[in-house]
Amino acid sequence: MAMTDDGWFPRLTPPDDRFPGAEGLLRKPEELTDDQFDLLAAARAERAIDAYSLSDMEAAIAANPARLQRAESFRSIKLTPYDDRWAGRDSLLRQSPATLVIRRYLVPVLLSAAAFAAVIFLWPSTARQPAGTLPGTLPEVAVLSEALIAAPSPVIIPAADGEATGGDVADTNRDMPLSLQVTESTGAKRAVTVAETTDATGPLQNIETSGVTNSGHVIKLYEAASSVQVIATAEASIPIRVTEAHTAEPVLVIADANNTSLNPMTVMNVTAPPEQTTSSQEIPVTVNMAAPEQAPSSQEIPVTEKEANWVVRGISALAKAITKEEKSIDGLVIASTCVNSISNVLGWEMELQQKSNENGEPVAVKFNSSLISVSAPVNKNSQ
Amino acid sequence: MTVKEYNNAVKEFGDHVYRFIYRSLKDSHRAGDIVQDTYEKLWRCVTEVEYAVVKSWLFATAYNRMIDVIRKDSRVVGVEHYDESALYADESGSDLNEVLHRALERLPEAQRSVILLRDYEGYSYREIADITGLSEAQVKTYIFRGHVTLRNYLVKTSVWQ
Repeated sequence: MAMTDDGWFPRLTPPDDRFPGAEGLLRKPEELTDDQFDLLAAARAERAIDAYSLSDMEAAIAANPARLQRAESFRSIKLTPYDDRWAGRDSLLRQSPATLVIRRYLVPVLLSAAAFAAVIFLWPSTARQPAGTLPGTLPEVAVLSEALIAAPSPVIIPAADGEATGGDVADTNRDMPLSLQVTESTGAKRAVTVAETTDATGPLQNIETSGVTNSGHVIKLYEAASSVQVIATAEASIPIRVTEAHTAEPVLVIADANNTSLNPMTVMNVTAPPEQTTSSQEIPVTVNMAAPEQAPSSQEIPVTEKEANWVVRGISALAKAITKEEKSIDGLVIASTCVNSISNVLGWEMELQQKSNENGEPVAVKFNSSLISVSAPVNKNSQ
Repeated sequence: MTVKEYNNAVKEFGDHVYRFIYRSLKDSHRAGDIVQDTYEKLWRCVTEVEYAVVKSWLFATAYNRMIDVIRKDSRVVGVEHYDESALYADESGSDLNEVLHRALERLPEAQRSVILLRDYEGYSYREIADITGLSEAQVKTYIFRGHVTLRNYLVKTSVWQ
């Protein structure tokens, strides 16, 4: 081994040694193995082969033409994607802040309010009862007659024709209790009004008492300004008659309610009993409601249950026409269905619940959601 | 990237990413979870990722997440553990694409992923290298070797006489 002449940086120089069998290691393209050829063919099918490799491959094919088919087979090896869909894709969609506020807060509140309003408006029809069977409720009846009796004279309406009378008290003096008792011709007695006390010093105000008899008669008594007004109403099919009325300035009140329209009462002045004109105490007022003989008794009156709300009536009719079944559809059913549908579609947790008392009568409706929870009593009008 | 662009990325690439992961794992639930995680990660850095590169970003993130899941479950089948004897079955008369997909399931994970990215999504070797973190030469080698294996499977399962 020689060394360079550079004394500062002496380096070894390679000798001229030669490998005697080098030519024996040289290869030809025809000598490519199948695996090597397949890799080239795969690259060729991918159009990722360089020119030198391609020439080698062509040489190999020229040497063995059967390899051409082998190389071509790689062209068909290509995966075709299936139509795989990701089911949860839409759940990842995001909303802009404004849309988020509207959807997350405003819409639920509005829908909740709408559902609650629907319950409030439709609910009274859910607790419908036949007229005369539910104490304390006022059926829709036509006003048949009324009488105006001047105040502050006490009002006395004694019994007529020997029928049973009541002894309850009414007083037109505004500092006295005011009450009314109704005695029916059937003999059944039931106090239907409550005592009201007026304010003697305050401004005059309307005091309304009302009630319903077993046969569906409605009595309203209220004091308005300087007069006491007695209104007797009943269903059109149930005639009533107010036979007599005595006051300090005696008035005879006769109301024949055979007509369904509002009839003016016939008012006649009669002599008042002297012992009852000086009282500032309780003054008895009795109204006899004598039904005509041809009028059916309360037990014989056919009562038809009629839905008051026309929306519910319409929906019930549609449901009956479609399903051919008689279904009880009321405000709660409609509102609850709406709430459940909204909850299902939008994924919000909302529900509408009905609360009942010990007798099973609905007393309140409660709306629950993730945002608000509202409870409201029902049947305010009838209680 | 805006919220609108993010939503476009969900609509446009969601199925693609899911398909890539699902075909790699053959587990729809895991694939769904991985894609969900990927988009959650994208949403967290939505302002930092440009929409022009979001597809590659999604595939790269999903691929890395998938590798993590596979490693966690010790389901990695390396080339050194490759059992070629279990690869072949009689597939004569079957649809070529179905057979190829069945053969694909038996490839090593690295080969399977690059072939899916190449054949399904049409990515270039450079893009596949960026997604998988491999070198471009490695990507080429995996693809060519994978195709050779698929071809051998077709021959040995009598699909190709």
